[in-house]
Formats: sequence, structure tokens, C-alpha cells
Amino acid sequence: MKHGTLVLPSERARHFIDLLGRKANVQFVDMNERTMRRQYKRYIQRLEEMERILRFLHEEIARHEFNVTKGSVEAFLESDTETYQLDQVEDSLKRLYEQFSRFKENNSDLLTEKNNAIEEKYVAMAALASLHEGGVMGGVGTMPTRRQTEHATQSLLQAHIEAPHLVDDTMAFSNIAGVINQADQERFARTLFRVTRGNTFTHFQMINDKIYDAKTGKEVAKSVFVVYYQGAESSAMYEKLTKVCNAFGVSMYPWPASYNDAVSRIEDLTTTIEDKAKALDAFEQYILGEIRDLLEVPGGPPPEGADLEELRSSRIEEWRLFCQKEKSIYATLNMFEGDITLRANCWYPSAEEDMIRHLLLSQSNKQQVSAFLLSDKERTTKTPPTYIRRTEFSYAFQELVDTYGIPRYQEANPGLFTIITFPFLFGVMYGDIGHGACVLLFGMYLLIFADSLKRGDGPLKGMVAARYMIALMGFFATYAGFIYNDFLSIGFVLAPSHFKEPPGVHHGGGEHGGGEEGGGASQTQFVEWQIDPSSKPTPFGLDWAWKGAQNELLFLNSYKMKFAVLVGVAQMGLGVVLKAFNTIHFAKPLDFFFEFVPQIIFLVALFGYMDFMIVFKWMTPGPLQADLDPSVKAVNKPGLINTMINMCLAPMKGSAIDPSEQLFGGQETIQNILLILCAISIPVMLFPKPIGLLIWHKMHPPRTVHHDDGDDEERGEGEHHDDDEEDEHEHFNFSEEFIHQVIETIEYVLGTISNTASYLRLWALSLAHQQLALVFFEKAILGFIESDANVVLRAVELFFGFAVFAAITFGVLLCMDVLECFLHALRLQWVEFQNKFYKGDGYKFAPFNHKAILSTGEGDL
Amino acid sequence: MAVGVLLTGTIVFAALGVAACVIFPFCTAYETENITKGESIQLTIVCISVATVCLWGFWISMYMHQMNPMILPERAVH
Repeated sequence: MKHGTLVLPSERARHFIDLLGRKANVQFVDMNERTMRRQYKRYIQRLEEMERILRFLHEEIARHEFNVTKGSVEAFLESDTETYQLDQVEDSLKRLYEQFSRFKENNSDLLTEKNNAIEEKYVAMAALASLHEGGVMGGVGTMPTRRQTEHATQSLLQAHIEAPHLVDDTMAFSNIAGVINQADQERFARTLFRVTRGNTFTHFQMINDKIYDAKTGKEVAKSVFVVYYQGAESSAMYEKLTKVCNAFGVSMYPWPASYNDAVSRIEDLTTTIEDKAKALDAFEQYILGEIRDLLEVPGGPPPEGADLEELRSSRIEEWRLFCQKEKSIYATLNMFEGDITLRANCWYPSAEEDMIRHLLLSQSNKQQVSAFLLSDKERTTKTPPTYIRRTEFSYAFQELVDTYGIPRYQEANPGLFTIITFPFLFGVMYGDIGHGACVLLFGMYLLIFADSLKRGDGPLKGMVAARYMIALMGFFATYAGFIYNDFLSIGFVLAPSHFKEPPGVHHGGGEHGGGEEGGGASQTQFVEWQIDPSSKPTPFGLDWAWKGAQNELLFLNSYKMKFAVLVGVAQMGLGVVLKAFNTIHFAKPLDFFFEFVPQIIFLVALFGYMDFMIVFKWMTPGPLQADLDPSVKAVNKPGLINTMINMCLAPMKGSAIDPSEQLFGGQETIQNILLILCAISIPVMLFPKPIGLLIWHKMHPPRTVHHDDGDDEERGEGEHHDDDEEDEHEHFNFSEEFIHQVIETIEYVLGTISNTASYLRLWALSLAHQQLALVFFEKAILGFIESDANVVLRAVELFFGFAVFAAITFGVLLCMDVLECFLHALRLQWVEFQNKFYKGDGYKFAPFNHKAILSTGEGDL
Repeated sequence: MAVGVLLTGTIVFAALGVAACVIFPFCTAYETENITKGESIQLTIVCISVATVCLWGFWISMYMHQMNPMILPERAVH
């Protein structure tokens, strides 16, 4: 990582930033953080306005139910070589916006006019039905032919409408007509009835044509209504009726005076409707054309079977990407200071320096200006950002590490080991062939369909990034299953057993071994098997003779606990060794000799020795082997925890070991030496480092004037200038340093013990997993197989039992237990492993990169 | 006898590990914009070595645990 200053000519700055965003990884430092002077604010405002228009257009497109083609960002960036210019795009967007707004306005006007015409036409048609040719009030039989084309119920309605006229045609009747929403119809009729005390007659007739609301564009159902009332055109009744009508917001239309009037009115209105419909259509077509133009993929449709990477997007999508890109460019330019030449500090990977220079130079020549990168001559005082390149493979693992903390600049990155050790720890806990294989298959599925899953919106989309991790977790869990010889709690006969049933014990007869308590209660009797002298221990995994044995757990727990300690010490040892690499890299000999060395001695002397005893106990023959082969001398097998405790208590109790508890000759001496090493290593961790730092600071006096408060270490007041650190850290405070070291030492010493114990979770979780699987199998399946019921009944029970088994296995073991083992493996990785060396206080390198910006902002619109 | 198995198994694991180190880079090492081919091969080899050590440790500890058992399986008599 290097620090430098980028100098750009202001008139061409955009091109350079665009280029860097495409090709290089540069992180810019905001130069105007304090002044808040933003030179390119205007551009950003313009772009925001353009994005608003784009959102509006997107809505319009969605309203017409078109889909925007979304291609890849890469294809856009590749094609966008000066294809789009800010001004041009802005102009066309503004033009489109105007057109669309005008269209919307026009459309709504036209639609209103058309609706009015339709409504009036229906009123006229209703009138036509009540008037008949010649203007004489007629009977039911003489309906005009035109009306017969209307729907069948009309003739019935007709009778009602005309009833008042027939009853009393000497009286003067007037009527008003209009159109109302069907939803209001009932209410309207009731109100009219009340207002006029039943002195009016209201008739409704449905409109069959589709009427769309001009504002919302939704279809509304409307009816024609006609109110007949007694009296003249302008009577009190009329006033009342108009008030009601206004209150309901209905549209009123004139009632044709005569039959002929109605006919001609209908003809007029029909042509008007047709005209309006044509105009609407024409507008619609025009707008559809515009939308199609917007949706068109530039460069034509992609060739058959084209790569996803080469797929380009619709024009509107490209405009959106363009706006987003430009916005980020101007946001970056806002970080620059200066007027004619813009300057900004930046971080860039050392490996890319030449490339960046080359880019700037070639672009400068093309543009006839000069832009250049000044790298700092002196080492910068600021902490550089940490840049860890990730691949698809390492992404998920690095993400795990980063969640804990971004590595300090140039610190050893635990991510590399996490790739294997994390799935391994998971596997040790999750160990089961069946369940592990399910996880593995799921991982494989994600791996194979990664591309299509990434494109889709399925629930598995989020899992795709972790596909390698899931596959590896499945692999290690399956392997662990083979070691534990555990397939959904059932064992396999992978190899011939090392044990055999003793002769002469069959079906309840003969001796039983240690299993009295089991044999007492039920009929089941247990017999201790013998070692088969002609066989060898199973070469791979657990001997099947242990599966289902009464003391299976005793044997397996002992193994799992010991293995957990072995793994723990190995991983913690690796962590401490990584610390050594860190101290070497940062050239801190004090840390190497007075932190790493005593730490590794402490770990090895205490728990390395425990590991040794575990292996020693495994490798040496015990009484059982001595019985079998007289030439072998049995070795004592004392409890290891007791031995460890006695070793630590030796200063109090004396180091003598009871011969029956002795593991090997000279054990006391070795244990005493190790204990002394441990005891020595603690003060070595504690004192030399702060004292060494103090002496170092004395020997390198600060350049500036300083006040020296004497050199008493006890007082711890010496303030010394540290010219290697940056200004904020220039004072060396001995007491602070010393307290820090005390904390570190205590943490390490206690941590070594408690972390080793913490690794026992490997055993605990694996035990829990195995026992859960066993319980599910026994309750849901085995019980039915072994029951004495009828075969048919058992088959049915088994059928449902299996469904329960499958469901509970999926829910508890494949979902919950995966999560649990994941979390515990994560904890071991983060706390037990990483606290040995990992500071994790860096900050992430966030380069300016078009692809990253455009890819994350996908869901913006 | 039993120690012979330890040796054989260790050799088998080592051989498989070395073989994987040779074979895997051909199918897993890619050159992408974030990783060079060389780095990709290095990554593969480190991962395989660590994995081999883990798998070997798991196997050998289980084998050693069964070499000199201190208890015998007590199985139900049917």
C-alpha cells in the first residue's frame, strides 16, 4: 500500500477519474472534510434530478407492463466509452420527461372528454328507450329497433320507466338525468326518496362500456340514472334534486327533448367517442414507441448462447448506470482541492503503481494535458488501509475474519488458515456421514448452480457467496463421520473388528461382564467382548464393535476429549507461531524474545506435555494387552487430569509420584523441569518488554525539547518523545505500557488454560449431535422395527415414523445443529485462535471502482 | 505391528496430500483480476497441506486410541 497525491487538470478531471474507476484501485482521501467546500455540487444536483426522471420513467414503464432488460455491469462499462455524455443524456431525459408529462396530461384530458361523451351517449340511449319515434309516449310493444340491440333486461326495465307516463299522462312530468358510480347508486336512490318524500321516481341503468378513471386509470362501473318528478323544469323539486345530485358529485346531462333529437345526439356522440379513442390510441402508440425505444438493448439482441458477462442492458438501464457512475465520479471529485489543478491524497496498492502512472500518462497525451501521481518520498505517518484481495473461494472465509476485525496493516491474515481449520472444527463437532453428506450435497448444489442462483431472487441467493465454505464444511463433517463410524447414529462394518464375542455366551447364557445394572432391570444382558488375538485394530475409524455397546460413550468420550485437547493445543500453537511471524515482519525483537518465546515455552511445557502424555498413554500397552501377550509389559495408565494437577501442585505437595501412578521413568524430574520453565516464562513475559521499551526510548532521545522527569521506573512518570510514531503517539508512558503488559501476561497465562478447556466444546457438541441423532432414530424408527406388533401395522407405523424422523432430522440436525456447530467453530476461530496473534484493528481499503459501485446499487430504483 | 500401520497410514496420507498438491492446481488455479495464477497455486497448496494435516491427525489419533484399549466393548446378548 502506498500513499501519494494525485494531481489532475480540472477541466479534464472527470476523464481521469472515470479511467481510474475502470482500471485501477485507488482510495481517495477527502481533502475538504474540514472546509466542506464541494466544487462539483451542481453536477451532483443535476444528476440527482436525472435520477428522479429515471425513476419517473421506470414507473411509467412498469405501468405499461414492460420489463427492463438488466445486463451485466461489465458489459455496460465496456460499451460506455464516451457513448454517453452528461449533457446529451440530460437533454434526452428532460425531453422524455416533458413528453411523458404532456402525454399524461393530454391523456387524462382526452379520457375525461371521452368518458363524458360515453356517459352522455348512454343517457341519450336511455332517453331513446323512453321516447319512441314521433315523440309520442308509447307502450311496451313499440320500442325502436335501435334499442333491441341493448341487453335483454332492458325491455323489462322499460315497462317500469314508462309506467308513470301511462298511468297519468295529463300531468306534467319533468326529469333530470346523469351518470353515477354504481357504488353510490343505492345511497343516491335512498337519499332522493327521503328528500322528496317519495315523490320522485328514480331509474338506473348500467353502462356496459368500460370507463377508466382519468386520474387513476382504473376501471369504474357507472350507471345512468333518470329521476322523474312532477312539476316544471325549474320548480322547487328541481332545486332539491340538483342539490342532491351536486352533493353526490354526479355528472348531469341534458335529456333529449324528442326521439329524433336523441337519435342525432347519439350519432354525434358516437363519432366523438371514436375520434377521442383514435386520438388516445395515437398517443398511446407514440408513447409505446418511446418506451420501446427506451427498452431497446443497444447493439442489438445478444447472439444466441452469449455469455452473461456480455449481456447489455436496456437503454434506460444504461442511463441509470451512467447517472450512478457520473454521480460517484463527481462525488470523488468533490474530495479534491485546488482550482486549476485538482489535488487529492490517495492510497493505492504498490503493485498497481506502474499501471496507474501508465494510465495517467497515456490519457494525458491523448487529452493534451498533464496529470500525474506523486508518491510520497518519506514514509507516511498515517496508518494505511488494509487491502486483502479476495477470490470467490476465499470470500466467505475472509468475511468471517473481517466480521471480527479488519487485519491491521500487513499483519498476518488468519483468513488463510481459516479456509481449512474452520470447516475442520465444524466437521469434528458435526461428524456424521449422513448429515455431513447432506451438507456436502447442498454445498455441491450451490457450487453447480451458482450462476443461475446469483441471477435469480430465490432464498438461496444469499447462500451462494458461502458455497465453498458449505461444501468444505460438508466434506469435513462426512470425513469425521467416517472416523466416528456414525451414519445417522448407526455404525458401519468398515473393517473386521478387533474384538470378538467370548465363546459360550449365547442368548442369555454364560457370564456377563460389567453390565449388571443393564441386565438386572430388563431381559437384556451385556457381555464383555474379548480382543481377538488374530485381528488388528481397525485401520480406519472406530471399530464397529463399539457401536451400540453399553460403554460406547465411555470409550468415545475419552477419545473425543483427548482429540479436542490435541487440536486445541495445535491450533493455539499455530496462533502463537503466527505471532512470531508478525514480530519478525514488523521488526520487533522485544516482542519476539520476550513475548513469543516465553509464550510458546509456557504452552508447550504445560499443554504440549499433556499432549505428549495423551499420545504416550495411547501408544503403550496396558494390562489388557499384557494379558494377551506375556512378552508385553503393561504400563500404568493413571488419569491424565490428576497427573496434570499433581504436577502443578508439586511445589506444595512435593514432586514424588506414587509408583502406581507413574507413567514413565524419570517423570518427576521432567515434570519439575517443565514446571520451572513455566514459572520462569511468566516474569519473562511480564518485565523485560516495558523495561526494554523504556531503555530504547532513553537511547533515542526526541528531537524536540522535552521535560525529563527522572528515570525512576517505579514512578513511571518519564515522558519521552517517540520520533518514530506519529504526533499523537509521541509520548511514551511507562506506567501505561507496564499495566498493558501485566494485562497481556495475565490474559495469556489464564487464557492458555481456559482456552484449552474451551476446546472441549469440540467433544461436547459432537456428543450432543450423536446423542440427538441416536434418540431420533430410536424413537422414530427403531422402536417400530423392534416392536412385536403385526407386520402390516408395523409397516404403517414405520411409514409415518420415517416421515417424523426425516422432518425432525432436517429441522433439528440439518438446520439448528449446523448453526450451532457453525457458531462454536466460529468462536474457537475468533477467540481461541485469533487472540494469540491477531490485532484486527485495521481499516479496509475502499478503492474507487465503478464496478463495485454499480454492482451494489443494483436495487436502487 | 501396530506401529507399522501408523507408518503406512502416515505415508499414505502424505502421498495423497502430495498427489493432491500436484493435481489440484490444474483444476483450481485460475487467473482472475484478484489473484494471479501463481498465487492461486500457492493458495491451493497451503489449503491442501493444512487439510491433509488435519485429516491425518484425525485418523491417527483415532487409530492410536484403539491400539491399546483400556476397556472392552460390552454388547447386549441377543
